Amino acid sequence: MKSLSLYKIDPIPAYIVYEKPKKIIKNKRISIPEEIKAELQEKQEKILISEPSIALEEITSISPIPEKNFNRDVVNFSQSEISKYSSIIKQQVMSQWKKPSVTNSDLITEIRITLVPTGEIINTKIIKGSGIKSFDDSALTAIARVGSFEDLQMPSNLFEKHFRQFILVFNPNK
Amino acid sequence: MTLTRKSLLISLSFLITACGSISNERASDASAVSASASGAYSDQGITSSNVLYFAYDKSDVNSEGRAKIRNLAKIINKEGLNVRIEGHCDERGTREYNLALGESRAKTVAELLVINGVSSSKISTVSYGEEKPAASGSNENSWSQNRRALIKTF
Amino acid sequence: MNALKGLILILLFVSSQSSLSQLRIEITGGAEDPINIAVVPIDWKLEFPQEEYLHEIIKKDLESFGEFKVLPPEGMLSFPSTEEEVFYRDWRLLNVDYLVVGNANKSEIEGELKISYFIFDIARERVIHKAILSGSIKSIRRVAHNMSDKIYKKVQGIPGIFSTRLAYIDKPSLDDKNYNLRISDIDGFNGISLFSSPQPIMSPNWSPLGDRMAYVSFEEGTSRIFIQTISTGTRSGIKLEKGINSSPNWSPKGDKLAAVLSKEGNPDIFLYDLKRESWSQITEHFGIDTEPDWSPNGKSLLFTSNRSGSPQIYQVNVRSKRVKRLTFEGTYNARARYSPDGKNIVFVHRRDGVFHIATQKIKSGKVRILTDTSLDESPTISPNGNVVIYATKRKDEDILAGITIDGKTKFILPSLRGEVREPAWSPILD
Repeated sequence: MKSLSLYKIDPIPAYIVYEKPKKIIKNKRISIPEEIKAELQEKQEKILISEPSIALEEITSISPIPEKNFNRDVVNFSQSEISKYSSIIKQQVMSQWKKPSVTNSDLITEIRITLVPTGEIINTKIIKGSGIKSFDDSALTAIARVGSFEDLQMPSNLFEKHFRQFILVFNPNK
Repeated sequence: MTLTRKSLLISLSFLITACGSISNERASDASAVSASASGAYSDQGITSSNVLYFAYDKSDVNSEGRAKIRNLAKIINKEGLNVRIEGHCDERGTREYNLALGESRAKTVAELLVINGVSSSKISTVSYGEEKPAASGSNENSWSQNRRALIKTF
Repeated sequence: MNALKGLILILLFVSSQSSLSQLRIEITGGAEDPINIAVVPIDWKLEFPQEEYLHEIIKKDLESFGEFKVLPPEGMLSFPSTEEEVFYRDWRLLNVDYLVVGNANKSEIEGELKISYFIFDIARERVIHKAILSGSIKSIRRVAHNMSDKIYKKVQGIPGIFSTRLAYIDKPSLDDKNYNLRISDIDGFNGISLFSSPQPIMSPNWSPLGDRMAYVSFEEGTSRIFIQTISTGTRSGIKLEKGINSSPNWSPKGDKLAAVLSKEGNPDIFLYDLKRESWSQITEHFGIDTEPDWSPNGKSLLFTSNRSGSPQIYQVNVRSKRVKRLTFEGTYNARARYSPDGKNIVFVHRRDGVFHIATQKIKSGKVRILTDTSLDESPTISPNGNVVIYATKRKDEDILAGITIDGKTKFILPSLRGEVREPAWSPILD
């Protein structure tokens, strides 16, 4: 079998599954050498990549493309949209945070959260500790109790820009 | 315990402690022993006891009190008695502050006795603050009975 | 296809590492609910039955101040006694935040037992503490309180106070003609009379190590300060001076007592050097200076003075003797105590004729009334700074009550033999 050589291909833009794609921003055609085409044609079940609309369904499992590959005429997100989802996140974390007695207004812990589009928290990392272990632990425990954020359905580009990874700043007003 | 078993146990415990160490803790015992006072001091030998009353938070003596002191002073000097003045307070306010307040009441009475001719060497004062009330009850009726100085002669 | 996927993933990876300014969300507060904790009955592997159940004592300890809600055994789906037997999902279903599991075995040392226990964070699915605790079989309560302290410290980040004791004074009653200076465990158990007298006893004060008690006794017909060694009962009066000798307060190093003497004509603050057995004067004023309290760093004293016309709280530097007034609200502020961090004071404050316990951040001068009871006095603060116990009246009877420093949990101490007053919280006892 002849080995496939890597051609420079522009990735096809894709959208998150649960949102209906508003438009395909780039309509690039991918050119594939004759040999590959021939091989692919052999496998009847495979769909030709040159058909973007059909290929879209195939690429559902691939994670969405980062924002910087989009056309610049994409919509900029308003502060109110960001605030709306930030509030949802804040409320869910606050309802699970049981502050330890050692808490005082001088303590601050910053934790970086990584989500997947379903809202599930897949990574937490303390990027700035308070110096008090039980305080830091209580924040991590609160996040573990949330486990997965609810009601975070949002446009995928908003998600990518702000909510795939963000920082929770535990700063009590005690 | 054989050497091999011991080393196995030690290595096992190291495995357990790999993810966090086991600490050894101790709950200590604390014992206490009682003591008591014999009650050396008592009110024996007291020939008379007179009372003066005070207003809340005040240590000045009213005119009725002054009259009492004048009469007492005469008797004390005539019979060469010794005097012990106790200052007391009602329960309101803090205990140690009341100890001080009780003392100022006792001292005021002592000064008045001296003014009335009693030798100061015959007088001793003590304050009991709110510790020895005459009446129990958290009301003005009880409180007014407790704000007092006792002049005991012996 | 794989090459395409690979390239997309590489691009993704690269972009996620880029230094885009990330969204920051402030979490300014938390849930007010108590922390849910489950303490599984300890697996008891000794020959004789337990006289008291450790998990019951621990449950009562942890629920004392409204900070924890402890799941009773009836609510449990399983009873693990080792790490392997814990299935986090079971406990997560019960909404449990932390789990304590352990087993008790006989120790090699005669008369002792050993408890191996684990504390689990259910949400994070990990062990946060494991230890072997040893103690006397005869003091099972002490062992339980020790476990409560460890659990508390791990979760709350400040020391637990379940192994501390309380000193207090009870007055003569129908059962007992004497005044008694008593100490008991903070939960009211194991009460014992340290000193008994037909004459009044006042102002108990623990030494910094908790091994001795200073107090005022009227047994000789006048106020005198005594020091008693708790474990032996031996006591002695310190150098008696004319007038008032009262309000003893131990220095943090345990080498001096601050106290009140009126030998100079009016009550002033003095220091007694325990080694040299000599007095030195700290305040000098024609008014009443009383109720000294040492700062945790040993540099200054709080005291009550009426030098401005009515009782207020002042602070004096022990070295320079410079005096600074601290309270400016109201006409009666007295009997102040420092918080363990030295930043706040707790004291008696009168408002509209009612005596409450209040707190104040030393620097701010702003009074915050803590209690809603009246005729409150003698506040004493727990060594972790979280709880205040004080004396008050209920239906004309002297009782002790308590409140957490945030004001949220209030309690009354269970009847401690009749009418009690002047509570003094012990330091953390090792």
